[in-house]
Amino acid sequence: MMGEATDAQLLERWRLGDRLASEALTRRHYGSVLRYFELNASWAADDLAQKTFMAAVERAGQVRDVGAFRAYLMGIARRQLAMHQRELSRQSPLDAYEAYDAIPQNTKLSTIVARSHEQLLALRALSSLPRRPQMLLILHYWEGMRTPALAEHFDVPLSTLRSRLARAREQLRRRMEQMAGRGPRLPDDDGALASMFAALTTAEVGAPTEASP
Amino acid sequence: MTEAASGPGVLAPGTRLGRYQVLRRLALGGMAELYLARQLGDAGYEKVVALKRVLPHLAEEKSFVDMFLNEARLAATLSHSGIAAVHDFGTEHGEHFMVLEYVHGRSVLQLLKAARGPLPLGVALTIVHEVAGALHYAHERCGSDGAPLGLVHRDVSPSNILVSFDGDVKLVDFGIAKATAHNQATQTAGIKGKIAYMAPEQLRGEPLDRRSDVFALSVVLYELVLGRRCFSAPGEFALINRVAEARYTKPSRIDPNIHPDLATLLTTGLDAQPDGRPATARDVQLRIEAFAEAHAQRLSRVAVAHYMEASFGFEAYPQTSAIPLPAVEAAEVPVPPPARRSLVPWLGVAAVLLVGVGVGVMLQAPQEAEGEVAPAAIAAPAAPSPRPAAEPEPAVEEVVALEPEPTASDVAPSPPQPATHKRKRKKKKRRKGKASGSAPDAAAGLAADYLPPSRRPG
Repeated sequence: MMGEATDAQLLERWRLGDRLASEALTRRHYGSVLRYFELNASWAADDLAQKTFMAAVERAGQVRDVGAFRAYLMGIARRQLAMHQRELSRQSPLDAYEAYDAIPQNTKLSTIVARSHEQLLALRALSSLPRRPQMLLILHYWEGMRTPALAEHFDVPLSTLRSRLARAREQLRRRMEQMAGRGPRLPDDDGALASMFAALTTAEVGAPTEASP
Repeated sequence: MTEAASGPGVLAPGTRLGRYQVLRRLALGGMAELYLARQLGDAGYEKVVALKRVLPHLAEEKSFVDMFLNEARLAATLSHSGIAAVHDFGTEHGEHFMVLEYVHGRSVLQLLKAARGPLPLGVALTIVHEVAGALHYAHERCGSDGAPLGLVHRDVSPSNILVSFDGDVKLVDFGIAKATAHNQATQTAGIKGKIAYMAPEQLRGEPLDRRSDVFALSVVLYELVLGRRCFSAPGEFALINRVAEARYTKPSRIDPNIHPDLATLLTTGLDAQPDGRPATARDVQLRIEAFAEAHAQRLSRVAVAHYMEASFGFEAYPQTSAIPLPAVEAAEVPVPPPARRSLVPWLGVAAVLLVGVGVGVMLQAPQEAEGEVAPAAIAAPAAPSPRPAAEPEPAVEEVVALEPEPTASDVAPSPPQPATHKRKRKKKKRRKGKASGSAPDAAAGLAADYLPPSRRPG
């Protein structure tokens, strides 16, 4: 029953104080958020994913575009990541040996790493992109958001969104080329890029429980 | 009762595995666990060893067992003072265990953590010099046909280098990475734990050779001398990117007063391309020696031993007398029981055996009927042994009472050591800030180093 509700419906019920609705929304999107952090800050991925949902709960009333709840959530995730990175650069604790043990070594996204070096290369390149173009690629290819929805979410004309996306793709392609040397090339074709990203998402990035379709 | 005291699947102190008797568990990992044990022989022969056992729930996975066997076979061909020896390999109740040299000391990772900064230069250079020697030996190793084996350790890192209180330096886990290459899952695990010590070509998916180990060893050298990690990043992909491009902080930025020769020594092996590094581990040794000579540094194991005691206090070699020797003759005939099961029931059997020899004989009969003759290798101590038959009865309880296993750390504290213990305490107090709680994890930490990195407790 819960599984058939749209994000917008669940959000509406959440705002009215329905805890089950908030849990359902969390389950549905946890994997996406966690995957984002595993790509960018895997040592703290679980922690940051939880912080993101906590922040989302606090601000549930401010959601502007209920049709793109996932994009909204990923926006919060991006801010959490920025905060995390600022904090790290202030403390710089990662050089210290004491920090070594605290690092959880098991992240789910990296199960991909063993699969093929081409996929590893794609993940490396994606993780090395600036946060904005990276997020755009993730939302479009990883989360399957179409360009009109993205344009609406970012509040820009469709043409602007499309050219931003093209630029992000180009950046990614260049990074992959640099990293690979004589290795695999990123396909120029949009469909091929989409299927490569689709392959990346098949990694079992775990939601706490199975999300309903 | 024994089970309750030790947790499921844990071998209780006193348990027998072939010719070996478990003294206590040193560490638990995700794939294997490590025990302190003693090898028993005729005429009171006894030798302290480390015993590594595949975890019961993995003992039926062929790929993992194959990997374990590969590791054992590979390591068994290596005989060098700088490599912790594999003494033996056995199978008991269908479960495999590997018998390793017990190294009484600490891992380099523990040294680094305890130091909270650089190690004394001479000590750092000595350690790396020794490891380079061990690596060179392994790299040069030939097979029985005389052809080079092309061995690459692939997992040289602070946690795989042990330093004994005598100042010996031992490389461990030789062949783990090679063996894990057959198994996708564990290969992933390997990648996760040790990205920071992998050679760039490994991350780029290019072929490896001995220069990959040279890179890893250079990372260790950098970290020992500068007291901080060579490669670090907020996440694994960022870390992979850093290592793949060999982006590390220049030594002169960390220590503006560093001598240019030392800076060169530290970075010469950290080239992203294998061709840019010293060609062999021997080459690394020679460079260290040349530097030491030019800069009045002494490569001395005695200095390492002194440093160990200064850092960790005096620590007595494990005492075995607290655990009674196996009491009953019946237990000495290592015939596998009919069923392949976890070793836990065996503890029960051991307890029963202690009650009376008659029961032991009874248990033995169906085993022989099974037709599985004990392999010659473990049938060795068949002759009646002159062991004292004094304390057969309360053995199990007594042992458990002596060594309660803490639940959190998975590690039993050392047996009571009246005299030395006090001395250790005193030392610890003198070293401010280090006294608290480090004593019981000592053995655990050491043992953890035999386990693959991603599987270590804590």
